Amino acid sequence: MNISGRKIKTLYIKDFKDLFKNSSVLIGCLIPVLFILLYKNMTFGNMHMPEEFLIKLGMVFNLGMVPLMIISTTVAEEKEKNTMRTLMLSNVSGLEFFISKMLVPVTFLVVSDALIYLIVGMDMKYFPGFMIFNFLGSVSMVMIGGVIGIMARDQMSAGVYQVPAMLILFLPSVLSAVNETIEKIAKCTPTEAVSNLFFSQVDKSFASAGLFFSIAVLLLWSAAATAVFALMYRKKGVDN
Amino acid sequence: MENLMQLKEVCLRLDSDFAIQNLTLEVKKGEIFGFLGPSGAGKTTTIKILTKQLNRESGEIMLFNKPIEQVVRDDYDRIGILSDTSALYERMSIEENLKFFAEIRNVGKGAVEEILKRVGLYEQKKRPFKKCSRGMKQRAILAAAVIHKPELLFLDEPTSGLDPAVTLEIHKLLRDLNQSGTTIFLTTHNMEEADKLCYRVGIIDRGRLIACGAPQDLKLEFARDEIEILTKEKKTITVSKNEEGAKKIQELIAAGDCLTVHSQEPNLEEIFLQLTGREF
Repeated sequence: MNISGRKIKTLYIKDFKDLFKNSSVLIGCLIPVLFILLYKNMTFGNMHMPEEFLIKLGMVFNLGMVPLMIISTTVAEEKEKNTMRTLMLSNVSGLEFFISKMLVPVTFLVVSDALIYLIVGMDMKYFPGFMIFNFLGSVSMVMIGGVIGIMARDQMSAGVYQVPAMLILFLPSVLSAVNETIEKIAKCTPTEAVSNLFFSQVDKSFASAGLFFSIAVLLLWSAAATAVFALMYRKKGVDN
Repeated sequence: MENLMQLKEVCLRLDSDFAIQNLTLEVKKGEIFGFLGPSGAGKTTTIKILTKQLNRESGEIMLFNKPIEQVVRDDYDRIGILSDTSALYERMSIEENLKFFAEIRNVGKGAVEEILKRVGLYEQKKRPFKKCSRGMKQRAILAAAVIHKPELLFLDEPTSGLDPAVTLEIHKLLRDLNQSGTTIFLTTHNMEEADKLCYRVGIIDRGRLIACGAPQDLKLEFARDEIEILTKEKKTITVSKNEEGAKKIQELIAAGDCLTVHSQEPNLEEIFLQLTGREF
């Protein structure tokens, strides 16, 4: 199948502009940034929230929520309102459609991750690593968002699939300190893997076994999510 | 006239029933071809096969003088499609929508102004699509489907659910498009619409083509062997198309008793009834 870069660019620009007109999705996507902004300015006596806690919360929250929400909701909306069908009838391929849909949350993540980092105010020497690890983590999350987009017939069903996926992907990571079982589950999530990779550069524990485990988790999630997406795409197409 | 599209004994089964059965027809370049039939007859399925949304089981299809298997993606840029479910982006204005489709179809921005004027939406171009009336929406959707000036336009029930005034506007646009060289393949269950617009029509029932030809030719073919005469006393007399009938008409005219003489040509709906024994 030949893919047109021009069509992807046109779709991407349209999708990106449309995101800023879609208040329900936009507010959902801004929640992690707003949350971190709020937490950063909260004080307990003279105590502020620790930077490490804030950066992990922001990273996990952002990664676990934004790609799933943007892709699945916007794809479902296009199905529900028949604009996807109109695009397909205008010689746009399903792959071009999905590539543009996936590029939007990646762009949004890059910007919101940078904002979160700046709000938290960690040392800038860790910033490049923070952005790279988050970008790597976004691959699997974007693919999972794509799978939900294929499965969902309308925005309501997209919401039904999104919630458990989000809870599985980011809640264990946030609650990993509660007990060992949750910590073990969290270690197997891509959000926690990204967090571990980031903190390994802060702790300078680059050669630890935990680091290799995190890389493996991330690769496995990315490969599995891409495979499931490819399988679903071949089986159901874009307009089921 | 050259054929733009040709189907030969095309078959397709959906859920083990024939959706299309031995469908043979051709569409000539420059014509408006009406594909008529009741809901579920196979009209939309035929469009889906022709636009590669569905694959046929057997038969041959030629599109732009080549087998459909050899029709590549670029060839589909010569086609415009408007289905009964086509839609535009609600949060975007009419103009933004058309600019977007112009980019997708790789045509210059000048095409947007031109088509906006043509469909009579230039003044309302800044209006968000969701705030447009039904008629404006349908005109905008049609504009998006033809912004690249397609050689062949598939229209699936383009006036379904529209009020008569908007329907007339759409008909005018379609005639205008056809006059500028676009061949139109139109499916409808509105026989009157087909009669008004189409050069030729094909009537499909349960996946089979049961009649095909110019509306006037079909009417003559299925015309009843009767002539109806309205007399001065407002009485209707029916006579056969034979020597005896001719004599009767002559007598009435000579006596100055004849107001009107009408041959009994059926409309397309009556032809369908004659062919299938069922109401349309």
